[in-house]
Amino acid sequence: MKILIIEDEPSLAASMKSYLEVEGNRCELAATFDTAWEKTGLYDYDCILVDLTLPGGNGLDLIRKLQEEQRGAGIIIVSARDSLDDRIRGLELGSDDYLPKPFHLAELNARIKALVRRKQFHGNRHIDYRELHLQPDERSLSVNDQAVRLTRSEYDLLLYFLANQNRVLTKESVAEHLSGDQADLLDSIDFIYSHVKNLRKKLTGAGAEDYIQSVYGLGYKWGPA
Amino acid sequence: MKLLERTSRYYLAFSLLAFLLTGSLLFAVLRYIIDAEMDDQVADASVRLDNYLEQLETVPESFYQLDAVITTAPVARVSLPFTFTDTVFFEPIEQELEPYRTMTYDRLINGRAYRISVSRLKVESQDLILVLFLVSMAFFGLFLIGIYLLNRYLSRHLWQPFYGALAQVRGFDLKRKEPTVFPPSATEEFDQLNTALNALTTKLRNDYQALRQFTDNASHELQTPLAIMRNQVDLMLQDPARNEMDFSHLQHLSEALDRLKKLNQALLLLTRIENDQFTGTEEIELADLLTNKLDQLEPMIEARGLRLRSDLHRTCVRAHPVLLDVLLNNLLSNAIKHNLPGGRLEVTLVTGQLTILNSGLPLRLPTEELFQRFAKGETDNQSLGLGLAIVQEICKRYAFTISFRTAGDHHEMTVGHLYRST
Repeated sequence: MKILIIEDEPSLAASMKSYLEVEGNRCELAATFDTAWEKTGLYDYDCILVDLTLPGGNGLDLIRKLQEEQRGAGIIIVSARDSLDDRIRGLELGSDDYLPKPFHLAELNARIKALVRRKQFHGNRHIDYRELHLQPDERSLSVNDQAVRLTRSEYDLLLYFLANQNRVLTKESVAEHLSGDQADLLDSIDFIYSHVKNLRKKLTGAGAEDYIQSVYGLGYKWGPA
Repeated sequence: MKLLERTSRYYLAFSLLAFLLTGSLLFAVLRYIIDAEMDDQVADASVRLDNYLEQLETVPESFYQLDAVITTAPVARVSLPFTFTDTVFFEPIEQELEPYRTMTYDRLINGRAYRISVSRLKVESQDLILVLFLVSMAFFGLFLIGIYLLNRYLSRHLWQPFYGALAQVRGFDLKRKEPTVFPPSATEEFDQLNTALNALTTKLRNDYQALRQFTDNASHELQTPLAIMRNQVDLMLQDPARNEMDFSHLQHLSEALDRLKKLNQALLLLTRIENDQFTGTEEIELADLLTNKLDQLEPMIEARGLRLRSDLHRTCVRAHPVLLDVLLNNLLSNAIKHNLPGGRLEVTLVTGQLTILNSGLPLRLPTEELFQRFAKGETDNQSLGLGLAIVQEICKRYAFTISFRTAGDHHEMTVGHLYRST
């Protein structure tokens, strides 16, 4: 997958690039409005991450242009300006998602994958992982061709794990993914624990391997034991 | 006591003293003048009296002439000059002693020496005092009425700018957009006061705006470094060579960053509410929204094993959707977070009033401090202490009432006045 990261903060851009490239993506960086303008005019991307406050221009103008030129690309706004107006205007102009800073790299990764999956019109919208088969559009899961019913939170959790395979995910990142803004005020650790426990029980109960590993007290990691 | 009343009191005390002094002085002067005049008259009369007595064949011992009682007594020789004395005589008609002024002198009448005394009724001092007193009091009364009317006029007209400025100061609200204007006054003192007040309120307003702007900017600027730190931690976690010690350090770092992020978000939200960045309202059906929220929170309610009971009646509220969402979120998550394992959670929405009751440990901080920023009841360091401050700010914005009651092991938060006409 080819990803363009439009971000003026070099260390932020570098960490995004570094995280996303582990999965075999090709990432390019643009630190100013003009570079971004130029690059998007020259190349095609699968996904473009746009910071709204850029040296030399407003990210929203860029999105208007991308909407015309890069029809196939998924556009995610990544901004420190977490105002409702920006969010709504960005979505109106044609961005597909809005991720306020500060975010977890795992969250960014999951959003990119979900977006690209949504954008692929010709099949391939399912996820296969060994004995697991997921149809995210229908929110269905089968293990060894046997349907397994998951709650909404459990399904989201599973998708999050699958998007970030073999990565250490902190509890904070999982909590934020599951409850969005609500995680702000909740002592979310115990409810994550119970969700993970339930998901693990349902998966192993249906005959799947136990892929959810606890990483000390810190979080979880999805992968074969 | 009003300033006017205070000054009037001094004026009155002073004028009372002045009236008393002038009254007494007037009395003494009048007394002296009247006495002197009387003495003159008697002395003048004595010449005519002498002529009269010389024409008589015998000098009578006592007779009434010239409005005076006159007595004569033969003496050996003329020795006494004019002598004035005060005496009293018994007045048979009025049955009382009356004061008299008596002039005594010796005179040769037809070759014989007589001592003649002429006594005239004096003007009574008491009468004089009474008249003076009444006149003074009448003046004093007029003076009082005058002062009263004058004060009324003064407080209505002259003090008007002062009361105007006072009303402005009373109604002063830092958060209001339009500046408070104290109009110039024709009175120098009030004009100075208004100028000073104008300067003061303008400075207050500017400082407050700067502070709000600062919080807003600071919170925004913090987001990027926070994002960098967070992402660096995320990257460090992915290194397979990490040992348990590293993970422990990273865990602390990650948790601290998470708290910092939440704190920053909460502060940003507070500033935004205060800065009126949530304009526009929508008609929102609260019962539906609450049902939705409770659904979303179900995993957490379950995780804590809470017994949920809800009684929701249709209630429409006009508010900004985001703020109403935050309001319910904070109240409900508070009730869940500060609950006891297996405790009660009761949500009642009826007649424009939302009541959320939850079990919990007795409150460790005074109820009135509950809504203050960074007020923490428990030594639970996960809590930001901003949730209820945000709730209060939102309630204030929409004129909802918020109250908290606690009894035994349960707490009750009530949001009232949810009906709004506009």
